Amino acid sequence: MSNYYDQIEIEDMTYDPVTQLFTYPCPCGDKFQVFIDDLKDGEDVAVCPSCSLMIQVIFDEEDLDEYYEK
Amino acid sequence: MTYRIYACGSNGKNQLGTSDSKDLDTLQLVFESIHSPVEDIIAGGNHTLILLQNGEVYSTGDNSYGQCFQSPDLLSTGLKRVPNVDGKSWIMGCAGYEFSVLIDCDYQIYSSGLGLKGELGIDHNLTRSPVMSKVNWDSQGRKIVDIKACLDHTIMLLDDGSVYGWGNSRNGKLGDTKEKILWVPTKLQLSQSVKKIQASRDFTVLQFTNNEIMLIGKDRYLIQSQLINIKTSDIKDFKAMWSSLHILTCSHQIISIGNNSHSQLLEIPSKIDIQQFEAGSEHGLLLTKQGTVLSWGWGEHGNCGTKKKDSDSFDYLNVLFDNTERENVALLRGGCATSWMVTSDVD
Repeated sequence: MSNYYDQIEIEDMTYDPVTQLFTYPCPCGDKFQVFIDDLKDGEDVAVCPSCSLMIQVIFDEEDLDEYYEK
Repeated sequence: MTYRIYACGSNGKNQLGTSDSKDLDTLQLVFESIHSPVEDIIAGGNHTLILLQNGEVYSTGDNSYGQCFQSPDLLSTGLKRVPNVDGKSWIMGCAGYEFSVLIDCDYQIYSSGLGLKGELGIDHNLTRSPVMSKVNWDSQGRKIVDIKACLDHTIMLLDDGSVYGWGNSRNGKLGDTKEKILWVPTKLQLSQSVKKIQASRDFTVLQFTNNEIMLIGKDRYLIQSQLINIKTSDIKDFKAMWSSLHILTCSHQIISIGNNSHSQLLEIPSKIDIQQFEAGSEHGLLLTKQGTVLSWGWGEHGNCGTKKKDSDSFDYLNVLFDNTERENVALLRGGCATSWMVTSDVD
């Protein structure tokens, strides 16, 4: 069994070009987050700053290009 | 008669309405209503609305976007009364991640907060409403029977069996539409009349008048395909966590389908006589016939009570409240890692 709470597709996440973070709501009330550059480097886990839950981000590397253009 | 509201769980933005913002792993008294019973406790991402049967609403928690219907100057708030509009009683409401919706006795709908995906339902491309704003919707003489929201979508059931929704409509959770966002209340195209609704993170659950349950939206855990094993005449009630569906049968069993990462699908022993059950974001609550409140699922913030094991997953039923001779449990509610219980005095 994986340690992830859930797997989330990148299209369902919110990208903020200012902070360069992808975020997604966590069931604790905070938000999972991961930097776009970390995804580019092969990271696929977004963590929540308020609890221990983690999600696996489902994406292909080329998906990131459109977000870099924002 | 005194009605008491107790709460525990995640409290970083004071969503439990306590005097500080510390998480709680035991139920604490947060509100007392001397005359009016509590109609509902409506939990958003980090904010909470308390609706009394006398039409008053109180709010607490994160108000960064005005989602508590309080002055935008207040970033977060302790329990405060929400004004009534034109003296009209509030009769129901719902809340999503960073927005809230209230409905008055004339079925006028009001919303506030942040809704980048149409959650406010007010107008096209309107994403922020730091103050209470009216949702333009013509009821055409119909009554609103129920309203439910999850993360970023809202659904509303009318007395003619039709369902309206707004917010994030990707993946079909607001029915068949090419639009990714429904900015204003829009009728869902359904083939049958609906009698019960539930909103979850990625999907909506509808029960038709023939008792059949249908899930619309993204079904990552293949819930719909497992519903065929349940006799429709056996369905008494159903609730959704963020990634699972829980069905209470007429024989008082809970059938759980979906994500089990944190024991959300715990099998409830058949000897337990379930009177009421509720689903929080990723935890469950139930009331036994004996008046005990039990919890299970993901309880990292204290929302399932004090841990018996060194794990945030409660793979056992934990006693959150033990029956006393003095108080009856009237209502349970689950929020985003929060748990709520309303009691009334024993006569």
